[in-house]
Amino acid sequence: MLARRAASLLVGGTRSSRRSFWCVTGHVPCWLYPATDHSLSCSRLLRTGSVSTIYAKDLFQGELNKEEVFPFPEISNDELDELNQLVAPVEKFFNEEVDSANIDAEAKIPRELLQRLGELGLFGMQVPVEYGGLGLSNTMYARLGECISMDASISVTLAAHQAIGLKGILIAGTEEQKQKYLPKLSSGEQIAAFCLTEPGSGSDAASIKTGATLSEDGKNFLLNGTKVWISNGGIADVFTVFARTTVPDAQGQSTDKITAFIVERAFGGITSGKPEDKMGIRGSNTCEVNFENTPVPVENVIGNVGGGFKIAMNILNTGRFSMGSLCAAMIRRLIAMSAEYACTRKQFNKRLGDFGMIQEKFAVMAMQAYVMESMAYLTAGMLDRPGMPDCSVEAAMVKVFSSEGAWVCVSEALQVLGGLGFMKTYPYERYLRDARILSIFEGTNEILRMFIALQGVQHSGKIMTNRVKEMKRGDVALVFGTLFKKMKDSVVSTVDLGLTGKDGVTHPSLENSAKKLEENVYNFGNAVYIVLHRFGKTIVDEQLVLKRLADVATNCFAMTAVVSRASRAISIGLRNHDHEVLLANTFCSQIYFKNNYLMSELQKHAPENMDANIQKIAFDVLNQRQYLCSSPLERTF
Amino acid sequence: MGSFQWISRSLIPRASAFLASVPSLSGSFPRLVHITPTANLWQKDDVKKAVAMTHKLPGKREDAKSKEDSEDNGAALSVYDMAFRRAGSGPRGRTKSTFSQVVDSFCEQDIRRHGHVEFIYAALRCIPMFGLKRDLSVYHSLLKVFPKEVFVPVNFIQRMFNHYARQQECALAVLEQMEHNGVWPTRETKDILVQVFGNKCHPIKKLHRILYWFPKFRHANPFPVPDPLPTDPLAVSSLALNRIANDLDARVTIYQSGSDAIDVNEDKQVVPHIVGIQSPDQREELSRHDVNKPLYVDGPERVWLRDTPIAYYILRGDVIPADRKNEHVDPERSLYYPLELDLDLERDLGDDLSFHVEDVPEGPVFAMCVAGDADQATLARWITGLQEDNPVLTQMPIIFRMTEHDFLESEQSDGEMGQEQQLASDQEPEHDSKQRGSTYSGEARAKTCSESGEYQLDSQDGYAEFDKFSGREWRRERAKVWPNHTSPFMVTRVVPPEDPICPTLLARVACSTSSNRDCSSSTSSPSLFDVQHQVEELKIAL
Repeated sequence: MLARRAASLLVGGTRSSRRSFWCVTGHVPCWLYPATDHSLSCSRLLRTGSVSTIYAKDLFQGELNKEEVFPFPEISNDELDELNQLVAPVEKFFNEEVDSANIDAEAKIPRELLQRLGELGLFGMQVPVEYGGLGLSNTMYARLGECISMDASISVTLAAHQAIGLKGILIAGTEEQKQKYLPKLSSGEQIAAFCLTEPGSGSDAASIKTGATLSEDGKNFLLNGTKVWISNGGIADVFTVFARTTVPDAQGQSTDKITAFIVERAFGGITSGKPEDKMGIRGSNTCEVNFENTPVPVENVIGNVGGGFKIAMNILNTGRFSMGSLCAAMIRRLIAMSAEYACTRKQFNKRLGDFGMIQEKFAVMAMQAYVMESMAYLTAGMLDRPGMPDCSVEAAMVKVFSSEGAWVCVSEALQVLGGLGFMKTYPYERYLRDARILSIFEGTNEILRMFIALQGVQHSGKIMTNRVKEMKRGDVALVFGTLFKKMKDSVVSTVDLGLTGKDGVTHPSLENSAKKLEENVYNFGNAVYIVLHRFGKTIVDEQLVLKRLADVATNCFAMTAVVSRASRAISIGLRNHDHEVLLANTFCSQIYFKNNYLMSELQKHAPENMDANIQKIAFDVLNQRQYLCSSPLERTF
Repeated sequence: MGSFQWISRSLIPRASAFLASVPSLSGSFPRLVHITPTANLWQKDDVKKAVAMTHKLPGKREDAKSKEDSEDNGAALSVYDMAFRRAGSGPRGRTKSTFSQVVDSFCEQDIRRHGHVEFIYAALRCIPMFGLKRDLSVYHSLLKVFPKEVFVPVNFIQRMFNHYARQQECALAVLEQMEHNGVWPTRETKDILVQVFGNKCHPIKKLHRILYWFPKFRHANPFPVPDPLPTDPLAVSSLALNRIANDLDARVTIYQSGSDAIDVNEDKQVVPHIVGIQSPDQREELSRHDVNKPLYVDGPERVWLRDTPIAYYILRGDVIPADRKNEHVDPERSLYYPLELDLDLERDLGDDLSFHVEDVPEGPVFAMCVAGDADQATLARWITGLQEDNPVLTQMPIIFRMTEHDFLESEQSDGEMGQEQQLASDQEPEHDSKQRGSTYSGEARAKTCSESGEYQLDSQDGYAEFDKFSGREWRRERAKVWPNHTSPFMVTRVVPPEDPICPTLLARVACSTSSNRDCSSSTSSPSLFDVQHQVEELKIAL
């Protein structure tokens, strides 16, 4: 059915050597990886469709690609040592020299601090060594991100700089552009920013108004426009700007398309506004950037003129997964801090930690941290495999789950402390304020849910189209076959996708969780089929249905990650592996029931489904633009 | 009806005494027939009958008989009606105090309240004339006319047999009139009724029913019109336009030019204006409209605010072809998720909730305005004003499709109308805009309207219907016409057609029949095809 990869062995070794790789399928170009060159030519890298389906998209068919996720990705001992050596000074730096409270109060990161970060190499973590960066793999990047998450403003500044700011040059730039810009950017001498959002354009590329026109001599583009809410906008020297240009299209008519430019502040005509006064991540510089007839040399176009849309999509899709490890690290610290309090404070002659509701909070925090870590490193491991796989859906799932989980956990940690958590003397309120932005930036969670669901439905839709059409045509044999299968499923539910049993990939202590995962995935495939049958391609308009699909898929991915990681932990005997197994099993049980409820809501005429009512209420309220009910004290006579 | 006559016959001697007691009387009969200048609310026939009746002396049986003989259509005026009319014709006119005076004098002059049923019916008939329809205390005073505790049943036989049926009916009529006019009864109403009729009478049941339904209907209207309607013409126009537009983003704009000021007095100048409305969605839709397709100014349409009709005009386009609605989405539109799926699957029948049969294809409406008695030139003014916000309008051809609805009639009523209705049937409306305003008072309007059956014109103020059961006559009041074209506020003709103020391409299509938009059945007036030709000519000329 699917074209799968012939070989999916995990490749160890250092980051500088990757084995060559052959695919079975014809449509994927097979190429040899040059030794140290991560960056290949633009045309190969700029894909908007998926090259090969890793894992998440197959969930939408009810299939589990266990080879992709079992065993849990590992790094070699050498790599691990190297990593620990990198991590130690960074942690020390953040523990001793970074005063987060001060940064938050002043809404500024001191210049010296940024210099020190540059000295530590944190400005070019994923830039290849030959351009002056550290050349880290995704896994190592995620690990370092854990240390940096001690201060949210710094991590956002660094992320805006390298995860999106210079990513464009990195993945789609020419050799000259890289040689020119990357060294200074990696050392921290210059800071990068990503300029896409405008007052009228958040996710809608059609409403981008910033324009670039070719000058008379044809050597420069003149950039005109305003970009808003640009992280590092005030301190950056190199901007990746997306502007509208007029290009002749295939038919010869001129259309407006977006182009990516590398713009230096030194070009002139660039003014940045006042830094915005924000609720959280106050140390990060966010401001408006205006371009007034800024001359941009033609050589500074990234990719092709008119090809900016794909570049933007690629940049946005690749930077997301590290949020999982960031959030997990933050929650670990919060657990430590609040547990300290819960175990010392006494009320009614009992420690706070002896009360059930407080215990529940800690359990939730521990499980969430575990799941986030697992998902983030699983995704990082999948990304680190040879072949530059497209894990954008998995990364989006990590981002959605982590951002919402972080908000809940920070809130609970603050709650453990009660009134003290509310005071500025403790860092909890700062963490809470910083955590609020997580579900907004890097793609709002609502949009990412749509992305996850639509990518999955598009992928499985292509394969299920024939089945759905035959069903609609009313093929008697098919109808009866499906009916029989459904009846059998409802009576005898044995779903075996290969995780457990003789050739199973999970440890026996996780057998129940694995069975639940299998059941969920199988039912999810059926649910997607039903949804495709009902809505077809008009499902784009059914956001409430797509939201459920995305939630179930994310939950299944989360279950996979924890089962895989706990399996590995108990198999190799990591410290406290029994605790891990306990966390994994508890999480899987809870999520199993949530998934079942979500999927039952997807059935047609399900009594659990209140979508029609919800939309009617929203319609009434939005019509009048206010709350409609009369006061309970109102009388008619 | 028989019992009614019996009562009235026996009561005439008393009635004359009552008449004598009404203070506005001073003796001689001919003075009873004083007709006030505000003759609009009086029927001419009524007056004639009143004159005829008062020439007959009361107290004689022959007179009573002839009075009944001269009854026709139940429009006879009883003695009590006369009393009210006389009271109203006094120096203080028709006010609540004069009304109350009549009621009080009736109550005082007879402890047994003979003839109270007839009196109450008469009072109910006269309440609208005194303008007391919505006044609860007046209805209470009428209910207090009933003698208390007399009609309360005391044993089970009385309870079984609809005790004092006529009186109960009369009280029911009072409550019905209250209900009809939307007057909410209160505890006091119930107290009075309980005192008069007891706990289980029909009026109490009626009261309960009123109090059940009125609260349910009070807020039932999702688009309530303020009561009373504001007097400011601007407020009324914008109320009407907002009601039609039903868009919270729509903005009302007033188009006027100081150069058009009309001098009313020496010190007062009045600037005629047009009140228009447009919402941002309409503006956007207009900017996307095909420049080569014409726009139409249709009008006047009518909207009712309670009993006030308001004429408005619409700027609309042709039906948008279906293929334009299914525009293909640019694949490079959304940065985060695909706006269209590349699948070959359609929506299932069971989930397809789109309309099919009920879909009436109509062209989009781009703007609306209220302009009084507007002709093409005035509306061209409006289009010019719209051009500021909608620059595309300068390039589009606009066709004026004016219909000849005549609900915007003048205040001249009375008998002349009947003759003019005959005249109008063969006349066709003039094409020249100059003529249109002057032919306003009484041309081809009533005929066309009554053909389409939209608005019943009467030669009198409204129309009357007679309720045989209660012996009452209901009169509907004349609808107040808005905007009043005789007022200086509204534009009749501001810009002569030759004025080059409007650079738009103008063409005018006059329909000889009122509701025929396609003008396909017109004979002598230019057809739509001629208009296209005219448009071409104009284009060339410009």
